Order: sequence, then structure tokens, then C-alpha cells
Amino acid sequence: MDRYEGFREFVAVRGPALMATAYLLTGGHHQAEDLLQTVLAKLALKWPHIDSDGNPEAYARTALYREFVSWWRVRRNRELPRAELPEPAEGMGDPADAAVRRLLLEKALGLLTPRQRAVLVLRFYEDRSESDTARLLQCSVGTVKSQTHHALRRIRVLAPELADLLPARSD
Amino acid sequence: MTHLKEALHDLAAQGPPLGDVAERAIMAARRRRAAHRVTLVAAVAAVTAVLLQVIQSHKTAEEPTMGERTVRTIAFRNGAPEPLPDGPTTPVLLAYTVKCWPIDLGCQQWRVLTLNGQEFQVRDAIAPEKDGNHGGVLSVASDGSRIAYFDAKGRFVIRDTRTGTVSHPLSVPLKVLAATTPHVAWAPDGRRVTVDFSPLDDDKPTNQPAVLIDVTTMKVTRLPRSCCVLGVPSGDASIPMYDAYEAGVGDGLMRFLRDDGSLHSIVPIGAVESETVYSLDPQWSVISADGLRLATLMWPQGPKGPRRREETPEGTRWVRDETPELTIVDTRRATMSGHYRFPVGFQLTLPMLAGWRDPDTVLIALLWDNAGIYAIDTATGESYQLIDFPTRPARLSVATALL
Repeated sequence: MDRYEGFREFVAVRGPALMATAYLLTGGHHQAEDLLQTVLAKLALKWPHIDSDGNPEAYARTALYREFVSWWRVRRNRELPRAELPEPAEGMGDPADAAVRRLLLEKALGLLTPRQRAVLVLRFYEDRSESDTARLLQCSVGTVKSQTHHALRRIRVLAPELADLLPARSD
Repeated sequence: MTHLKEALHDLAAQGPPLGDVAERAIMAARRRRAAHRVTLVAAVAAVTAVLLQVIQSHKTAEEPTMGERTVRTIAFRNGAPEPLPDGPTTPVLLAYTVKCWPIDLGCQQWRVLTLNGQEFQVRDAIAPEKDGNHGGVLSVASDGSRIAYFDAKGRFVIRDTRTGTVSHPLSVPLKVLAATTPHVAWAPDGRRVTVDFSPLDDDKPTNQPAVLIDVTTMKVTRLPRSCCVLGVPSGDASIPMYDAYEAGVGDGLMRFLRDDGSLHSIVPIGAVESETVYSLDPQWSVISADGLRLATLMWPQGPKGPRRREETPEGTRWVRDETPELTIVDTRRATMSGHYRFPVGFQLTLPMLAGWRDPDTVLIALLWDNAGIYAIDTATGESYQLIDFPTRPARLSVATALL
């Protein structure tokens, strides 16, 4: 029997969604591919057990977030976030325009720490509860709250054009 | 919030196409498995070389073989060895006590045998069965880097053999140690250790709660019952416990401790129809490193199965004609599978499950007839002897990853 039976089918069905999350987390095509491949290789290594557990996607998502934060721990001394948003290109247009808004959001996310970024993706993209987010990132609920707060505040400061996208201030 | 969610979805849609990431992941997994096998072979070769030195240093007797495999002999030294030094030592291969008379020679004290063949006495550990102390337990972590035991003050001692560092994360009243036989279980990765206070024979459980100790922080967490932890998986996986007293004797309920402190129970399929044969006990059941498989020993015809009297030069004794089986329980699906017969015969009592050596191999220790350590490969069904003990140990704990 093929040790990886069902693995390819799983990736074909759920891979696009996982890749989208990886892209949101890393902000780059190559980094997203690297991250997802690393996670899927771990998944493949344990596939018979994970498949029998019946919920490989939960495993993959958990691994994706933890791997991402762990990458950050390794690379944080090499890849520092830039201090400021680059000047918008001339003629970028109205921030209400979807393409412009997407570009601004992408750049703003790139200025957050990976943990802040992961918290925002989990809370606002995946609609996870605070406790779920804390469990996935292996931190306390208090940390999730504070990271969310700091991330939103940072986006408000660095990209005021995105203010209407953000939830109401909690502070 | 809705706006941010929409914007994030919009951004996520700009991610790269999936491409052949599945194939690349499989290739990476294959490379890693191959590398792991090479590392494992190298590690086994290294350990084997060291073990051979140990054996030679003990002037071993003849080495009988079972099939193609070499059976190694470890003969325990006579007399009391030197006390365990305060500083670092090489990893501990096994810990043991021997039966002797008179007992005031200190021969019942726990001793450790290190990978380089040195033997030491652990003088501050409570000696088993001496002066009514049933709490004389000593347990070796699977990689031999730590040992854990109770001292005469009732303190639980974790000693790091690599540094000689000693920690006392827990203390219990001595009367508890007099009334119970604590069971100490290490996680295969050495990050967690549990202590439960298994009742003696048919006594009721004590009120002393079992505890989980995080070895890196020495944080102690209470578990919901006093007994019985069926091993500790690596990482943060749930800890399986068994409590025959609450569930009703013999119902074979396993309870798995969730991260939030709650318990869920399963009755392994196949256990219900043979309630009387299904008897979990830490000595006879141990969880795999990933927490997914529970290896458990049982008599095919139940604990009260047929037995007969046998006359020996030493007197009359009761023996069983059947040999126990090793059964694997899938802890997620609650199914029982993989019944493995034991390679050699032995009498009356079940042997001791020493633990999982690797994801496939379960180690079993015989302390009476045919004393030694045996392995059952659950992937191939092969069973074989690893170690022969010419002198029977009375108590034993082994670093499973080093054998």
C-alpha cells in the first residue's frame, strides 16, 4: 500500500486554501511556497497516523502557524521589518479602490511582527476565537488580546488609509 | 471586522498557485525518512559499540543467540558499588536492585549502570521493600540523561546525569510512600514525567493525586486521579490514565486527559466481551511516543485463567501453560489490534513492559525465569531477546532508547 495514499488528494482539495493562508502569513509567493512545502513534508512524514486521525487539515493549519512563528524566531535577526511604509507610488489612486487597498494592506501586514500577523490572520481571516488562536500559537489568551491590539494600532498609525477596514477601537 | 475579513480574503486570493507542492512535499518526506534511517543505523551502531564495551567490562559469560541476533549478557557485580558522584556521569543505561541476604549489606539499594560500564549506588533513594517502604521507586529517562526517585524525606528527586544537577519539584508525606507503590513514567522526549500513587494490590486508591512535572520548568500539575498513568507521550499529547476503581473493576475504561484538564473515556473494542481479561496497569500497559498506540500485556484466557501446580527442587509452585499476548490499542479509534505472542515461556505473573524503544518496538523485561530484556517488533511481528541477566534483578528500569 502506498504510504502516501490520500495525501495527494488531500493537497489537491485543501492545498489552495492552505496556500492562501501561507501567503497571508508570509506576504511573498516564494516564502508561501516554502512554508507550505515545509509543513506538507511534515504532514507527509506522519501521514498514515494523521490520516487515521480523520482531521489532517486541522493538523496542517496548526503546523502552518507554528512553523511560521518558528521561522520568525530563527530569522528575526536577519529579516527585520521596515520601520515605515514606503511612499505610495504616484498615481496609486483612491484607497477605496480594491487593488490599492490590497497593496496597502499587504505592505502594512509586512510591517507587523510575524506573531501579530498570525494573530490577525487567525482572528479576522479564519474567524478563530481568542482561545483557539491562543491554543494554535501556543500562547495565552492575554497575549492574543495584546497582540491583536498592538497589530491594529500599528496598522492605524502606519496606514491611516485603511482605518475604515479595521474594527472599532477597543481601547 | 467584516471589512478587514473581506480585504484579507481579497489579498489571500493573490497567493501563488499550488503547483506540484504535494510531490515536492512527498520527496522531502522521503529524503527525511531516508536520512532518519541512516542516522538511526549510525546511532544503533554507536550504541552497540558502547554496549559491547560495557559487556566486555563485565566479563560476560557465553552469549547465546536467538535466531540471527546476538543476545548480550549483563552480569551485575557483587558487593556494594561506590555512591553516585555529585558531578556528571555518562548516561544511565539501566537501574536495578538485586535480591540478597542479609539485607543490611545495602544490596537492596538502587544501583545504576552507566553506558560506559560504571556502576554506582544511589544512596539517597529509598530502597524498595526495606523497612516497609514500598515507595522505593527509581525510573530512568528513555535516553538515560535523567533519573527520578524518592528520597528518605519524601522528596521526589530528578537528577540530571549530564550535569549532576538535582531538583526537588515535589514532596509527599512518608506515610503515602509506605502505603503505595508510586509509578514514575517519563515521556520519550524526556520533557515530562508523571508520578502516580498506584494502590498496593487491591487496596483503595490513596487521596494523593497523580502529578505531571514539566522537566524544563519543574512546574508540577495535578492530574485528576491518583492512579494510574499509562505512560506519557512526547510533546504535549494527552496523558492516558486508567482507574478501575471509579469505572468498576475490569471494565477496561481508559481515560485520556485533555489539555483543558477534562477527561474522555473509551472502552477499547474487543475489550467489552472479555471484560475479565482486560486489565490495564502501568506495569503492563504503556503508551507510544505519539500517544496513538497503547501496548498492553494480557493473558489470552484472562487473569484467572487455568493454572497448575508444578513440583520443583525449590518446592511447589503454580504455573500457567499459556503465554501472555502483547496487544496494541489504537487510542483514537478504540480498536485493539496486533496480538503478539511472547518468545519464551514464563510462569504465573505477567512480565514488565519496559516501554517503546522506537515507533515499532516494544521492550519487555522478565525478572524471574529467563530473566532478560526482550523486544517485539510490532511492524514485523518478530520477537527476540536483547539482554540476558544471569543474576535476576529484583527491580529494573531501563533507558529504552539506548538498548
